[in-house]
Amino acid sequence: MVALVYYNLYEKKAGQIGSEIEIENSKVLTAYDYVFGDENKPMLFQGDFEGGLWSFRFFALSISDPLSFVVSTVTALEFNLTMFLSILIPLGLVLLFGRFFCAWICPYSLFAELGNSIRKILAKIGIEYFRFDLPKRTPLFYLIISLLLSAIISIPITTLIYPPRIFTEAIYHLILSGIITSGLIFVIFLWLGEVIFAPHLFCRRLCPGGALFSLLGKWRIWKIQKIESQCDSCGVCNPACPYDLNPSAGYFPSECDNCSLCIDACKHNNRNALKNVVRFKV
Amino acid sequence: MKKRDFIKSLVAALIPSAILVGGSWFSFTKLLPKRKTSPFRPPGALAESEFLSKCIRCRRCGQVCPNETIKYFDTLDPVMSGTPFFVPREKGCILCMKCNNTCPSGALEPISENPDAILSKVKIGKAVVDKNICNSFNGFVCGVCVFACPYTNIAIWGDTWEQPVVTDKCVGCGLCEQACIHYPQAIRVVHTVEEQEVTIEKI
Repeated sequence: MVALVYYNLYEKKAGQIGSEIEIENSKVLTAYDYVFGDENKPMLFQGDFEGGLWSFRFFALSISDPLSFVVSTVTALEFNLTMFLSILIPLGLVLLFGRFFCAWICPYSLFAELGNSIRKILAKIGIEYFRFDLPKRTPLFYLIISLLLSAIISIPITTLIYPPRIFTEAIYHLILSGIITSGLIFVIFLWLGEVIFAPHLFCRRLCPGGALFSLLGKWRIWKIQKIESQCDSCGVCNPACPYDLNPSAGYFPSECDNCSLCIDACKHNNRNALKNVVRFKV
Repeated sequence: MKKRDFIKSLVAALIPSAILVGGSWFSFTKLLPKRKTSPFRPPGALAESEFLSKCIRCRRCGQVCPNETIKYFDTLDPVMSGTPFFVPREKGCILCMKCNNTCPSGALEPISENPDAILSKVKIGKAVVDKNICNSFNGFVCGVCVFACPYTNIAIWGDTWEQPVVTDKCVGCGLCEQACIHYPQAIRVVHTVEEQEVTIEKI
């Protein structure tokens, strides 16, 4: 996905300068060309992809983030059918898998998990930091309040701090005009603050997209489940959870983003008490 | 949920929202220089306030633009940040109608590539000639703007000595302003006729 974004933006820049640009350090693209394309000219869906994580077109398929539809509809107070059709696929995936986007696609979660590991290394050395936290329902409240305020001032302020949107525009501007956007600066400071004060705070306690997905994912059918017969309640999985849930008690509310870190932690003990399973009943 | 938790979450959510709203208000009114004119949006754009509320800032219009016409605001101003615009003086719109057909949010209304449809639906602005500095009105036969226009003889036509006459059918693509050989430009795109005075003041 990210490779596609990069490739298509570099293609555009090549057109700007009037020559071909070599894409540096892209092993994915090289591998793709080796299998499918011409060696000299990469053929990665040329001209059939545009946009970024926030909203993109793939062949004739236009796909947008469900949050973009909610924000646009609430702010403009108008229902747009074309946009509703473009969110149907992600919406269906959210209803099936819940908050999977956060753990598997969102580029910020990579940085958040990196920050988590840095914190863990520092804790091993013996440096413990102040751990700041916000109340549990804050993301939902932030979503509602900022949507209300957006509707009042009719400017979409909800998504100003939404990382997938920020990364989309940051990549666009870094490649095409070479400037660092204000959103990227915000994300860098947010990440540094997270590493120092509160690991994974943004995803847990502020992200409006995460709030929307956990709201929609309440009735999801793909869940992590505890198998009682295998589990001896050792609790290895609890500190592994970035969302401060309680996997050892079999507690997987809609905040769970199926990141499977608890399953990995469980396997450390040579047990398989936690599993990714399809469940139709909540 | 307990009452105490409710109030705590409410306060915790209000603080960032208030910072965002306050920040937008502060930077829009105090920090940034006041814009005398609103920017030129890509073809098919809704009215300014409606456009700002509907646009999701996805930057697909700029990526699909073949002429590199569309640029984006990226300042500390959260109101305008990420919305598309173009500067006719630097690069005019070639009216290919790709941006508004790719727009996912409906902030740019789709318009077909048919020249008649473009002529009737696109209304970015209107070109206005400043007769005091235009070459054709001051003893030189020029007519560059007349030939730069994609709708020559419909939107603009050359009178005696190629003196440009802009009609009401002008869509405001800005190709004439881009082509104008006089500096400062003698032909300029404006939103309304009243705005013309403002742009003249700036020069």
